[in-house]
Amino acid sequence: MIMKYLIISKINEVLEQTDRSEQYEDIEDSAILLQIGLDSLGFAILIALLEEELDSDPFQLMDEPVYPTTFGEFLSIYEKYSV
Amino acid sequence: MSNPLVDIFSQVPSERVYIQNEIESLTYGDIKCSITQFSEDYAYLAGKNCALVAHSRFEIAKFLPLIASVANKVFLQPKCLKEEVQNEFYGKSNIEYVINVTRSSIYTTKVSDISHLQEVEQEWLLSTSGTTGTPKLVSYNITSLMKTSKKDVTKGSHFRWGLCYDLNRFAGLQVYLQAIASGSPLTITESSDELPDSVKLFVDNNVTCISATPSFWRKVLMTKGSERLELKRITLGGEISDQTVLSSLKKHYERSHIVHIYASTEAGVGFSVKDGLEGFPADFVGPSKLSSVELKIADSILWIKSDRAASAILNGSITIDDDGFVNTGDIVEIKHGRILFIGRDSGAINVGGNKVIPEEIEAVLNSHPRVIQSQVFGKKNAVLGMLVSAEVINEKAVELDDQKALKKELITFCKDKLDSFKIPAMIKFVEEIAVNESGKIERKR
Repeated sequence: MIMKYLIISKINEVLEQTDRSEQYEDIEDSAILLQIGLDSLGFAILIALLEEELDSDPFQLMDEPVYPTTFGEFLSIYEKYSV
Repeated sequence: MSNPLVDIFSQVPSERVYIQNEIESLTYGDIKCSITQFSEDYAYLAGKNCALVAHSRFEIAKFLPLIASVANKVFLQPKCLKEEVQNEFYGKSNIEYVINVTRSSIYTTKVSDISHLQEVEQEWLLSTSGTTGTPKLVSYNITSLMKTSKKDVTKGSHFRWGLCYDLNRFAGLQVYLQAIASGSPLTITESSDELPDSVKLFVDNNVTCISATPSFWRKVLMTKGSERLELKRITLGGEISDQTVLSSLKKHYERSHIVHIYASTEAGVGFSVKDGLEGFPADFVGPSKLSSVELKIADSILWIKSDRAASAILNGSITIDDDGFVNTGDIVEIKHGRILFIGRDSGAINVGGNKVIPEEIEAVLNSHPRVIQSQVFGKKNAVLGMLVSAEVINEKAVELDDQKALKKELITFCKDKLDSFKIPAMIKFVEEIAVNESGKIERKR
């Protein structure tokens, strides 16, 4: 749960940084990642900011490469790789 | 004068689709007729050096064969070229006519009156993107450009290509020539299209071959609906292909052949890697391991020599050693029998295919009143390959809260002055930045 809200707060930070008007209090697991207001650059920044916060980048630790399409998939990657 | 591009339109069965998008579809036969008509309507362009400016990729594909059928030289001019660069290019390449194409009309403008020699083989001119400074004008000979494309018209009916690059850039032109040399249909997306729409168009048109940057492919993999693509050939180029993206593509498109390309703008050539592993085998280095190019590594830099591609850079300079090797500027390392790309010798950062020069961003940061010095470098990123990161020395030590505010202020400051991909995504405040004896920042390797 904590991870979910950390990610949402970082998503809000990136949205602001990339001049988007959206801000979220909650995001449903089924939400399509590329439709929440972040483009590739936004996602790249999100992953970098999360790495700053968590000291790890699960995308570089994964043994089975996965590119998430929904928020739920994105979250579960972070929950799996961040202890 | 026989022209290998124009010849295609009389060799391919006329009912075969040449190009298509969501609203229009043209056959090879349509273009064959247009070629005849064009040479009558625009007889005055015969033997002239022409620049083609079009507002979409589709229009370029529609008019390129027509112009190639009459012109001496063809300059595929990018839309947003600065006027002084445009004039320099026109002068260097002796352009006589500019041909502007929009959806509804075509008009030509005479820009100069130069008498020139007729080339035996048609020359095509491309501009490099110039994100790393002044764009360079590079000339290619049409015959040698088409030499590497497979020309099997029977086999070509089994392949359907998708275009996601600009047609007036080398990568896009290669996809185009590859597709049409075998008479395959090419589905064209525009740079303004949203990715889910492009993916849908590719699915609807049963596209089986796509060439794109690793960053583009990562985004495709994140797009719902992309699992419906039935790809036979996947090509990656334009930036470093990491193992994650290669493996992920193989997992999603099990039946596809995946190829990643290494190409050097400096050398005007490249080679492909087909084993699905990042980097390339160490035994590519040395004499005649590759058919068309020779590689060597000196001081961790990759040098490349080639007898192919009669390309010449008409402005700008390249470094060539006594043995004819060109310095690619790419830093490599050898690991477990593979040569891996680490980055650019110049410190240039490749953000999803866009090149970023650290000095440009440092100059902007340094112009902020609270910044004493800054260093910009690339940070590895799972989505875009690299991301711009900065370390900044500011006037006095700042508290953590103030750091956040200053970071925000610096990002806002950069927004007015830089493209979005150049704005540092991460900014760290430091007390020291390493410089070498001559006072220059040591670029991280």
